[in-house]
Amino acid sequence: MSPKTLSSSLSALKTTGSVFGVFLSNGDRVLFQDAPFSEARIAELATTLDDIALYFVQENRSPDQLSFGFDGGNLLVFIEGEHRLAVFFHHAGEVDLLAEFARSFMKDFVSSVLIEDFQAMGVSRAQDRTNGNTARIAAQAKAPIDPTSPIQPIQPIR
Amino acid sequence: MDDGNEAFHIALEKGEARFFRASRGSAKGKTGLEDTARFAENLMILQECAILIGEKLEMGAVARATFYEGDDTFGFCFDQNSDSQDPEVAGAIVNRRLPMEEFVSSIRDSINE
Repeated sequence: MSPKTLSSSLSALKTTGSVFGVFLSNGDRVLFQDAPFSEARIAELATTLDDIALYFVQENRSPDQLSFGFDGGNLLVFIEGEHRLAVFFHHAGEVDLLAEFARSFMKDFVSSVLIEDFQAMGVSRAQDRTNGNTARIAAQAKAPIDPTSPIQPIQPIR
Repeated sequence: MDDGNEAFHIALEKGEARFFRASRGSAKGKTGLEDTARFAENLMILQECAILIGEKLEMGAVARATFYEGDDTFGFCFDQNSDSQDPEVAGAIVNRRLPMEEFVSSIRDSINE
């Protein structure tokens, strides 16, 4: 997913219902944020969500959607591998609708990341294969001719 | 888990929520010790998560929290009728993914029953 698509998808989520903040991270790295918090707070949120996700992994637990109702607002959190999406909103009654939108985004986002990884891996493997073939051909070209190897008869072309 | 508890068994078969209460560090429920221990463990984890996030973002006190894990829905909310100095928590577990708002409403209803 291009940065532009990512930004426009999450900005659209930000204008849904009573949403007042959106945040996406990979591990403790913030990929996108549009929330009314200072940069330091956002960095702390990324670290905290990463710690929580790691805790669940260590405990062999796998919650994928969490919601919290605070005095100051509501928070919906999605955990998908290394990726975490947080949506801040005012009206608690919107939780399931927002979860549907957010889950749909998360699915597309994770799919695009997997495709990008696969493509990158494919290019890398192709490069390895090409390099390997080149090296093998070069080695064969440099190898001395073995006088003892039997000469295969040439088959006529039909 | 709690195979001998009939209420636990029936709730699982019917996909019904199992309700619990917690206060002063202890939890009680009608679906057996293991199920109640599981509720207590989830409650501690979710409260810890809520405190961590709430403190970092200064979002105030947590009133309720819910999560999905596999096919299970877990959640709790504070009983607003309880003593603020000694708050009681009501919570539930159900073996299907219920819409979160419906799930929290069912916990609130259980408080009033």
